[in-house]
Amino acid sequence: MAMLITVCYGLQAQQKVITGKITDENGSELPGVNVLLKGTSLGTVSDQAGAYSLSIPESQSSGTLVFSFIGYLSEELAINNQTSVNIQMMPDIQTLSEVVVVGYGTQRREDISGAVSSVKASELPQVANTSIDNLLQGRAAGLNLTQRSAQPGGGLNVNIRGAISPNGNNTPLYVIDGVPVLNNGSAEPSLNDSNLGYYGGVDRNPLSSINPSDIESIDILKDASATAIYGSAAANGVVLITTKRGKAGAVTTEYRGSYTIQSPKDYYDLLDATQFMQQQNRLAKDKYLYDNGIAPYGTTDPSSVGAFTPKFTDEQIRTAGAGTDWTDKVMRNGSIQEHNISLSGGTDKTKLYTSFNYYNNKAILENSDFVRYTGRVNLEQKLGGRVKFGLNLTLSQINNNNASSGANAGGVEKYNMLQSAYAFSPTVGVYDEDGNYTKTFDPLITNPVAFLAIKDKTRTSRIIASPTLEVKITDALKGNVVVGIDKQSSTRNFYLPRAVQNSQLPEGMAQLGQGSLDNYTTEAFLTYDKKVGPGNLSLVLGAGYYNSVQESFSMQAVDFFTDALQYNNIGIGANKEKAIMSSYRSPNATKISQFFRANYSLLDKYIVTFTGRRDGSSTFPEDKYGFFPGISAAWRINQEDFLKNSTLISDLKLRAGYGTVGNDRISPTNALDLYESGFYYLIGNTYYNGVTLAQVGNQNLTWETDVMINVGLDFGLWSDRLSGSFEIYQRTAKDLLDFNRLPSNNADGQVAANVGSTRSQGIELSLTSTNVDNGSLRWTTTLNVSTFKAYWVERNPQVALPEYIGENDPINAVYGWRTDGIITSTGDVPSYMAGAKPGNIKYIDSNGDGELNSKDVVMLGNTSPKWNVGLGNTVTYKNFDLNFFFYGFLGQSAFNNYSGFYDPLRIANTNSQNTLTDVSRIWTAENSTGDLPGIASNPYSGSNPTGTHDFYLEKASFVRLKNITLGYRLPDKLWGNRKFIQSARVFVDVQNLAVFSNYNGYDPEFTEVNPYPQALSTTFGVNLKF
Amino acid sequence: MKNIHHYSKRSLMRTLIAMAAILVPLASCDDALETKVYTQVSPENFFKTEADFNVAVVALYSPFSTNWGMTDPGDGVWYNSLYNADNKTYLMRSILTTDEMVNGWDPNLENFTFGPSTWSGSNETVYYKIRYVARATDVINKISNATGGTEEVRKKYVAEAKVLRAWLMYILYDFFGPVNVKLDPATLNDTQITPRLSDAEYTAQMEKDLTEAIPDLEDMYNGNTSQWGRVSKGVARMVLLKLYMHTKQWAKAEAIGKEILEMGYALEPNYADIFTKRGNNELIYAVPASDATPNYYIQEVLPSDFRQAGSITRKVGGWSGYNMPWSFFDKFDANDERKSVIIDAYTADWGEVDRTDTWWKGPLPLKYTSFNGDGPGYAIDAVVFRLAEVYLSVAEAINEQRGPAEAYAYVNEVRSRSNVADFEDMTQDEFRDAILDERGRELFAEGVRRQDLIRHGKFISSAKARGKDAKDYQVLFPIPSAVIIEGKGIIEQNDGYTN
Repeated sequence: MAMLITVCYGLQAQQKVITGKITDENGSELPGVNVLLKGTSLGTVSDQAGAYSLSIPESQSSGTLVFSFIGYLSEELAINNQTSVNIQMMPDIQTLSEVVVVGYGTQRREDISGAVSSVKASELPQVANTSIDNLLQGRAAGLNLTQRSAQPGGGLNVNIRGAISPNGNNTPLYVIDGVPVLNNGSAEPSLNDSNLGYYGGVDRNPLSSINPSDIESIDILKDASATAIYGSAAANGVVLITTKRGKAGAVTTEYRGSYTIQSPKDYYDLLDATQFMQQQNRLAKDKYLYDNGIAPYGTTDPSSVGAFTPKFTDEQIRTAGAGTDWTDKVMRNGSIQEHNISLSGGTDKTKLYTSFNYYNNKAILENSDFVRYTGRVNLEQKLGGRVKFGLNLTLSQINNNNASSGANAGGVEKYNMLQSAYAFSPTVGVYDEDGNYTKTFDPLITNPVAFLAIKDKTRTSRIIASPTLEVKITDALKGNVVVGIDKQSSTRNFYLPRAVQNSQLPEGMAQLGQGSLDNYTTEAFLTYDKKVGPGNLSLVLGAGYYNSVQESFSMQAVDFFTDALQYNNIGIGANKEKAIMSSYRSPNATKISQFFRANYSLLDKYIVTFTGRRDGSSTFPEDKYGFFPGISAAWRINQEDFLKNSTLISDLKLRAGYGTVGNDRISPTNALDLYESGFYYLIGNTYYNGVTLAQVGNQNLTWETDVMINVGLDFGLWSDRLSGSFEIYQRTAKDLLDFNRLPSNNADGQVAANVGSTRSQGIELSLTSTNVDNGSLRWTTTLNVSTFKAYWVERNPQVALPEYIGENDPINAVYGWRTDGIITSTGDVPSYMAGAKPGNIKYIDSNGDGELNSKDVVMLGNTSPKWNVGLGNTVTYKNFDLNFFFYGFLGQSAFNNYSGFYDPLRIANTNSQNTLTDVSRIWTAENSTGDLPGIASNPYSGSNPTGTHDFYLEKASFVRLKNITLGYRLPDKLWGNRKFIQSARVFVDVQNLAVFSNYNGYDPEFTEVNPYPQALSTTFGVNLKF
Repeated sequence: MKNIHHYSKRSLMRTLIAMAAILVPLASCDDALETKVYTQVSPENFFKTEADFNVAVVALYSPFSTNWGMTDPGDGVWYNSLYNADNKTYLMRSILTTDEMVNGWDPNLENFTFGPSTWSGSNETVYYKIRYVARATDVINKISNATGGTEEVRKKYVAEAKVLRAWLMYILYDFFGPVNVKLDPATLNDTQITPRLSDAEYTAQMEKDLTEAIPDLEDMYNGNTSQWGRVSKGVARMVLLKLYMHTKQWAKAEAIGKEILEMGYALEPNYADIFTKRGNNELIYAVPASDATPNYYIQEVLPSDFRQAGSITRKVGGWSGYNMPWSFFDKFDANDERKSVIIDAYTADWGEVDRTDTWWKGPLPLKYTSFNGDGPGYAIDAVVFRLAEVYLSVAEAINEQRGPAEAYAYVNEVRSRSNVADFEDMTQDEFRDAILDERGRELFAEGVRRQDLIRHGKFISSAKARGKDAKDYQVLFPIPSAVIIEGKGIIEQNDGYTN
């Protein structure tokens, strides 16, 4: 066909060349602009200098040239027999006329009838972040992200419009360049901790293997009318990630380099050596009084028992000084070095985008460094006029160290590095006189500095290759095949040296682990776009096959005669009885699907969309198939005659949608009766691995179904100077993937089942406003606010509801006893707490029946935020640009994560651990104004069926100033006429500058026990464009 | 342009065929959707051979281990093993609630401020072993109905499973009274809440399991190095003895005790050897330990500054867990050889420690006195049942029925080994008190003190004498509040506790 065209035009004898220069609104050269001779297929693209040159037939010299460029208004200029046509292009402030990715295709924003939020990656400050979802926090209404760990590459909790599947999975489906990621997990092998004690490891964000700078846009499908095309995987919404494509035109090369300084934010305020000795003596004295029943705890005559011997003498206290600051030994100022280079360009036939990124984070916590290399090639090749071949290829390699943080299930022997730094006595130095690591008063705790000798490396590589084929069958009908191969593999090398003197494994231990996670996708679909009658019809029909396999193995060797060989020769581990081998392969996870979408837009005013998908899943033994339909409609009111000429209203669209989607994300093993190994016992000299009934299956297990109703209004005022959308929705999960509790006397505790129903209802508002735009100064604000409540509609009838839980209570409600400070004296003991001791928490007899029991339990709060807000501002003035961004969660409660440190026994016991300076507030016989609970065990807490009370429950609303970025674009004239550099910008960015909150714990967003320390990051960087 | 149209029709057909070739198979491959697992076995391929029966019964032994513990697959919660030396276990809670040891890590336990909500999840290590009773019921049923192996083999494994079920039931009974164990295999997956069994039903069931099992069991495994650790006739009779003592069925206790005495077990001549010689003839049951499943008791007892005491030396200290109060130590005669396993003075890394150090909480009830290396775990079996307890129980049972006259001979067998004077010339009441103390001296650190004090009605008064605010109802531990909530009123709390 190409030959035909060439031949055709070869017959046109007389040619004429038109040249010209294209500039932007600021007068800068604009490369990449499409120039087309109207009514023909003759065209070209402007070069780096904004210049173009186009040969046209002589006969067309009175024709018209069409100039178009994404983000700019298309312009038409008559040639009028000139040979030179210059133009200044103006930005298209009608931002709504963008293209939105909707799954198996794109739609114009105008044609969208579901609830879709879009974020352009260019609007996000990309430095010093490992993954795209970190950047999305607060950027899209309804997308709720909570960072679980501040560790480099650490995980986030993500949900769209509320986590309403209490025991299923609540994270959205990610679709990267059209390829759904069936198992968005991490391949990183975990450590076997059965001997080790502490859990080493990182809560890994799987998206950290994708370079955020490669991302062009993120589209978030929020309501079921839009997500139904993803069927059984879409209950929690869909996040579509689109990476950058090459554009026809001259090659542009961009480089961004940055250097970030990270410093720990205010951290735990621990006792120094002098304070430690003072507080130990003070609280141990009270423990002595309590243990011996001496006043105020009892009536024992003090002379009848042995005298109290303080652990530390006055002399020791006087000379103690500050002692060792253990936190300082394991934390440091960190840095991030990042280089990102990308090339983009192409011709009509071949388009290429390629990039390389290097990210090196020397983290603020020792042993948690993160180094990443990513490379990407996005290629698009036309083969003839009808076939287009594409390949999206990304490779990444992450090398990281695995200092762990967070809570541990176990005692002090399981303390990780941070916990041991908080617990180790400041009165001891790092090494003893023999050069060995010191011990603290509790011999089970590993010396914090010894942790630095532990080698724990993970190397993870990931390749995502996605070849695509598009065939234009007729002008209206296209066929597409998309294949996705996503392979992650990860190796873990761990060595615990003898020198560490770990309390469980003093003779040294090594582990090697290997994990892999592969996702395979094949999809084929037909799309049909045609003007039918007075409107446009768009159809998609397709099918897909998906498979995911996760495998791992690991081994442990114990008892090393030397630390010299580390994990490199684990065969020397002498104690074969402590050797461990294990392997794993995930259950079959296969899905087969068919899907369709029909969209009809009548007169550009009335739009209706039907979607549907049928999924078959290997997760469910009998009831494998589900069908998920959706329907939505929109009315573009501003296209009606009565508004068409309005100067006030530039855009107004009313949308409504209804749809059902599924949730299949529960372990496929849940459906089967299973006997599991791992129940060891020694008989004679053989350590048998016993096998026992571990699961009662449910053959009838099937999808959880979400039904969502959404009504939305898109609006634009004053030529979209102010634009936005408003959504109101109700999302109901039916046949919840949950567990029927089997009574605790059964072999198995639960059977997976579809029971109960939950609901979230909410509203969302997004606004974009151009506050000032007077040529040199432009100030825009984006605001999004969302609120929802998630609550139970129907509980599992088989799970006995304690009397204090209401049928329709919020999902994340906290129940417990109310408290009223502490008992400050023997006279202050309430009548219903007879026998309680001074210093005990004073519980409130809520129902006033004179007894503390389950009837006094009330709802104390809700850990889900009521409101999520995000506020961004961009100000550009001449060559300066300033961007600052706030986000916040409002209305939630959280426990003070310092509260564990306030247990007086932590320091008063003979195996004293260090703690926070606030322990000076602990009530004792000699500190009767103390407001924190004292030493005496509370005889009433054993009657509180929740085990929870509100003494440490706090309001945890917060607003965080996440980013401030200031950039300056160097004047273009600096580069003279050589134009080696097209433009250059320098910038500084500050992250985590401030958080505004009344929460007294560590950070209102990081309320887990022992969180990874937050860093204040300051970045200096440069953008260069060649 | 015509050409183009012509071309596209052919192309259209070809493309549609190609698309169909891809789409059609995608729409119809049900085999690919089979629900399959790769790392677990299922009822279809399990309980077929003797090797299957063995690993199924091994799993019933696993909660008795000395190792730390494991995650229970029933609720996904990690629990300590019953005979692990952590302060939360069946073994240690049976010790730390009495006058024989102090620890301090769990104030609610030692101060008797515990209630139904004090221990939940991982901290309630004993109650949730009730799931193993149901697992035993499953194994008994599955092996009984299996066709693999010989009938003799099946009977042997069923008998072992029955002993383990009864023993677990005894442990639960000891702490909580009769609970709602699952004994009918047809109800194993029921969601129906069942009430607690009556005392009579519960004890009758234990008796039935044990007596049914005895004919199919080996007598004993002492000396059998490949099978040591399995339950035997001796173990079954011992659990019966414990049950009869517990329920004060003195005649039955005397009879079964005397049966055990006739079985061929013998007192080890030297007290300390009982705890260091694997499979010695005094042992009726010990939990086997190895480097793979170590015993941590020694490590828990030794102080962090410990270096040497007599022939016992270590290069590094232990975990400073357990001390015997001097008041208990003083119950021993000066020349009592049983004191050889208690350390009342030691060399610390900074100097000498002995009774004159008022800060020292008391001597170290080390018990296991011969070991190599610096720990933390040791391949030393944890002694659970042994012949001396049988002698003392028979003596007590006789005294309760007929006074001390016939009982002296039994108790003095035990006393004379340790070079202490014979019991003689006592009233029935004097003998009763004396045998309680004698059991304390003989069996300390073996987890029987709580049972003994309760049987003698002195558990609470002893706690009060130590200054604890103990209530009479605390002779039983509370049923965890989560179980009461789950029970919807059908499962009753032990008397006295407030939910």
